[in-house]
Amino acid sequence: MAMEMRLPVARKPLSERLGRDTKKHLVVPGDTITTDTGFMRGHGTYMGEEKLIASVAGSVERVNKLICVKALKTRYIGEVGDIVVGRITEVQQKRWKVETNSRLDSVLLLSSMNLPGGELRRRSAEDELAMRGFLQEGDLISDGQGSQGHGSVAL
Amino acid sequence: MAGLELLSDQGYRVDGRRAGELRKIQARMGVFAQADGSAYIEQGNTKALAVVYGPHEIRGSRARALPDRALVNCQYSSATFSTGERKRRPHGDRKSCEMGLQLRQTFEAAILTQLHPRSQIDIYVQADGGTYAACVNAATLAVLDAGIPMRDFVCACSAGFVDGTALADLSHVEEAAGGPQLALALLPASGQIALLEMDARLHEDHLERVLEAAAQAARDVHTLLDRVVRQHVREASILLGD
Repeated sequence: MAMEMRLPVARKPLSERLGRDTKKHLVVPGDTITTDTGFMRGHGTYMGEEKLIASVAGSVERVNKLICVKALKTRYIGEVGDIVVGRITEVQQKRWKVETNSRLDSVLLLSSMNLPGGELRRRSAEDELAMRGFLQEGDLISDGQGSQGHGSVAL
Repeated sequence: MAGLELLSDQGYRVDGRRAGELRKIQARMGVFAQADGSAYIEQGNTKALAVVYGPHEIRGSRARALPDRALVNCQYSSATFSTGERKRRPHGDRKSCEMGLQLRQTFEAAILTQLHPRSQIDIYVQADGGTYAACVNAATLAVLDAGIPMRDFVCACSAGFVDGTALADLSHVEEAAGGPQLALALLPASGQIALLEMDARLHEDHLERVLEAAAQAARDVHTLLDRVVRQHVREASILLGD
């Protein structure tokens, strides 16, 4: 019976193997992106001594006059229309705090929840007291609306 | 110590390096999948592992939240088998607390904390001299890996002074010999110092030279780390697709 055995060899770096030259402009923090002051600065950049400097490691994206650096890996950043799955961490007055692996805990307002008895009902004090009956700490929820509000996602 | 020459007549140190040479450095980013960012660095025999979680919501007391900045939390612990004598308490002792505090000061200077409410950085080290420098270098790579915005890399190196010559990147033997040692953390692009620490006696005339040796060594470390990060970013972006 014939057997083929291969000895271990050092792995070739990825860029050699795929043979492609990536056309993206890759930067690391501290790199100057441009010295042209006509650009608006977006996420992942900061202004230092009349130069636009990158603050994360990633690829530079340019949309007309806006320059931003898209980091390779970040926490979840909510967009309108995303469907998220989260776990309730806290029950507060008139809202729940939901953990969605983003920079801050997401917020689920009592007023945005569909309660029995009609959607346009004003939330009363009894509704607030009954909040724990609907969702408690540790419950898993999924939600299909989203909007950004000062850094946290409102579900 | 009788018979131990830290610097020979020909200018060689105990491990065969010249005065300004660094130890061999190897670094890897993204070693843990479950953390937001992680990195591993070896500087000679010193190995440091840094893990970053964040930015995330403040856990524990809400009162610690700063309204305009992120809270940076650093913890240093060394493995029980890492020093000459087996350490019974890996964290909580004075040296670990002091190291944690120094790391926190260094990174608060470099991370753009105004953009987030809280980050937490935990650093774990096994040591053979130059622990502060290895920790800072590992933590820089880990913070980069986590995508947390930073002003610039933070590169650190230690330096000492023996027989009128400034030595860069001290090993454990050289540190234990008891001469003056200086630890420097630098932001290379702007040349700004994030942290400078020395707790020994050194004549002020020599300070300039030792500082310059440490700064040059930190810039050399930056060249290396820069290469590691660019390679990592290039590979990751190829894998993620265009």
